[in-house]
Amino acid sequence: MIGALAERLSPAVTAADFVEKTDDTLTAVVDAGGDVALGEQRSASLHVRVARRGRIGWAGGRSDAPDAAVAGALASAASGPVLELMLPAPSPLPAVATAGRGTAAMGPPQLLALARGLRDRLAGRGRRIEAWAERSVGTVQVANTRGVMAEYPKALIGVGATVGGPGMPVGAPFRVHLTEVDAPAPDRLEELAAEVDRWTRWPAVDAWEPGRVTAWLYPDAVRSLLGPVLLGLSGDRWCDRSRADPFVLDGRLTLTDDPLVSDRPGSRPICDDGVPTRALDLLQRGRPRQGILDLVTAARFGRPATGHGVRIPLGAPRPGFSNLRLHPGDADDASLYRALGTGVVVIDLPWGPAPNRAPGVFRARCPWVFGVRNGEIMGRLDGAVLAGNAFELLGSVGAVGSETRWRGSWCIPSLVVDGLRLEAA
Amino acid sequence: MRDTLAGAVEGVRDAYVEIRLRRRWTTTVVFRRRRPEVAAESDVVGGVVRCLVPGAGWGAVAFTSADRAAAAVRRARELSLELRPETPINLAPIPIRQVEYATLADDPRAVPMEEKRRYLEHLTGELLGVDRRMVDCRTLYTDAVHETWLATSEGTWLHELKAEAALGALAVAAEDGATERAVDSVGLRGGWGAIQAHESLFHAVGERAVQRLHMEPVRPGRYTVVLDPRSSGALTLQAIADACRATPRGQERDLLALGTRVGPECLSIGDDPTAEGLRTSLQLDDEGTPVANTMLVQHGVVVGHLHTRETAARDHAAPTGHALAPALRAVPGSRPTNTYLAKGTHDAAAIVAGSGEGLYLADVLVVGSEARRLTLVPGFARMIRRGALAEAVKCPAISSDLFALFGRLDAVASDFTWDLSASQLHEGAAPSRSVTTGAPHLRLVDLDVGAPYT
Repeated sequence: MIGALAERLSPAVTAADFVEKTDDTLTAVVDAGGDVALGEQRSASLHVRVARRGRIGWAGGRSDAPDAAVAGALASAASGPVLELMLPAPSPLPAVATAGRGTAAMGPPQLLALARGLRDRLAGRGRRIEAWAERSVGTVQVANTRGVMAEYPKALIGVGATVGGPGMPVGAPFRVHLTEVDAPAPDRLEELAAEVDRWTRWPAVDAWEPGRVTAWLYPDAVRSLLGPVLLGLSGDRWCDRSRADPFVLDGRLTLTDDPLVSDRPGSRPICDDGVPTRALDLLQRGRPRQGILDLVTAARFGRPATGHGVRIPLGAPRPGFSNLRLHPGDADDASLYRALGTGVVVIDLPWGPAPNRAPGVFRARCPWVFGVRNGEIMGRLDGAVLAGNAFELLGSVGAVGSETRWRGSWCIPSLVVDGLRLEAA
Repeated sequence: MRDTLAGAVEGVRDAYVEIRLRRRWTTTVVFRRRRPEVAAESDVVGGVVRCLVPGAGWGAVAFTSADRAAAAVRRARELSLELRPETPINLAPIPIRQVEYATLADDPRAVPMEEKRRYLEHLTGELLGVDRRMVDCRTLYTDAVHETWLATSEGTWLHELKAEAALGALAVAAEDGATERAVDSVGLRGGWGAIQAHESLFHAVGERAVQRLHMEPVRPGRYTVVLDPRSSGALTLQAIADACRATPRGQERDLLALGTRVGPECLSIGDDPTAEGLRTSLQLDDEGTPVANTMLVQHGVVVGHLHTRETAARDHAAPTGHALAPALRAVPGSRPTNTYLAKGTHDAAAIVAGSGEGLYLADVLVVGSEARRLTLVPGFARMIRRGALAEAVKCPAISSDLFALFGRLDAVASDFTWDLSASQLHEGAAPSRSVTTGAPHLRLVDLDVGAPYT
């Protein structure tokens, strides 16, 4: 449909591009009292962008009402920014698998079985458990008036649980989840359950000393810490930077954006702007090497787009990361414990309420922090508040874990860092 | 529309069925410095059918046009029948209402987008012209018209048309290597006409950013802190109202239990969707329940929660009319509308005068809540010296345990006002939802105001 739309609109505009996305999502929710809900959402959305008389505009809508979206985009262009938009020409696309084969066949019985299985595995010990399973299947089509026309399928399955109850911090249940493109194998669900068991068995310690500490950050906590780094590597901020290296991190840190790794949520052969994708080293040995640019940002700064255009139905076009890999180091668990010595293990790091993440400063209550003395976990530090600066912490890394595992579109090892501030609430 | 939706509901006889369809027209204009970044209009339709077969679970199907409602009802019933809850799901009874409220006095759709763009361009110019030290800004104009249809198998019918408009500004000033920001917004029920009276916001934001360049930081220590009505309201919303939202099965979390003492006798908090003229006021919620003013805390003790029909039945309470969906195609959950801290008996000026040396918070940017720990990020603060407002200062985030914070409340003023800023309640990954707060001045004694982050 969007190919015909591009042909029809071509004489009336300088340039135009289109993204059509279909999605069929089914979600099952269960708790300790049995099944709760099954929800289904189907959508077919269209995003249209046009360049006309030197201005660009965009609009979103339903794919079964393309004329309304086109009219909206033309109206937007009449008032939109002045910009010379260079659309990409057709070119061969890289090969990448973006959808599992069995995902579409996952119906209510299969999803309920997944969610019930996780709930039943976690049940007992007075725990309050909610478990869910979700599958999403669809397609992405991209076209423009220069002749680009591409399509690829998308499929995802997510399973997760929230666990609260006696002996756990008030207001902070333990959450686990995984995202795959195919139905997860039983051992993956068992790993989720084992993660819950491992961290919820520790009692709270009676007293602990605040101060500057060494911390073993688990992958979810590292992911939080990378937030300000990614902001600095994205769109306007990357192009607007005043120095060649806006920050320098530890030399062992190399971060790659990789849309071409198969079967991950961010895998795609072409971005929503119609630019073929490629793997990009964002950080090399701690130094920023490349930021991500969508077509509009690239045009504004006179640079080439990097294949990171993202278009959601009613949002402005923007750059977005695909799959992110922080390269592993050489420290196994024993080495990480040795590097830590006495300090804390941080499972997750909520960022807290700082309104602007870009400077990297944070201070937040962290319910899932564990005290470690001489390489041995002593217990949970209830009421712990963690504070610091992400750039400084990522610049003082003591060890990089050798084990990585994909969690959704992220694949990151643990890090041991120095200088995290531990405070009492 | 009424016949279409009623016909779809009647397609299932053995279950509770609820259809909500909403159409939303929006205009958004955004400027970065003098450059338009966004000028866009949208017109979207989205709905959701929920079906609860007795003895089964919730089946929910989202859809995108009225002609698909009947098929969505049939599919929702199929999904409901797939479920086997061991603990049955029940709905508390509600009075059945039929409401038609579909007239707009101030329709923003009648104003061309080009005029809205020119208007914001003018306001952006005013902001950048405040001072030579203004180096950056981002400004926003947005309006929306929402048309809602709701039909249930119990006979509830709602057809409602509402409009709202908002302006927002972020100003950045810089001098001698120092950079400071200020932000403000206003969100109103109504449209183009309603928003025109608030242009002065842009000038004020610019002046505040410049003023911050030369502010001294607060010396860390323990202070008496007076919160202005906007700050008090934001604190009330995040600390209490959000912790008093009864959640449905499958999304349970720790609530403030009934009977818990959270503060002194002078602390009373509620949520009133019936408050007149506010953009978040309602007649019926997204389940068709007539809305009611609900007390959450009375004389310092938790006395109520915000309920949907399902949570009310489970907790043996009455539905409060707070079942609200955060997005067009989402199912409703209990959410606040107009949260308020009830006025007290003190004179606001006397509260400041009686504070001796202290801090006055005029506006907070964010109130964060994590595991019952609250963090206020002030937008603007002044010292109180010898009982009078003195110089403006930079104030770091103030963090405290919920109970410790409200335990330090010693005075609530009588100068209650609703805050018209375009506030949002964020709920993790879920879409944020507009919310209004109202409060008087209040005073907290002996509060630890720590060092800045770094």
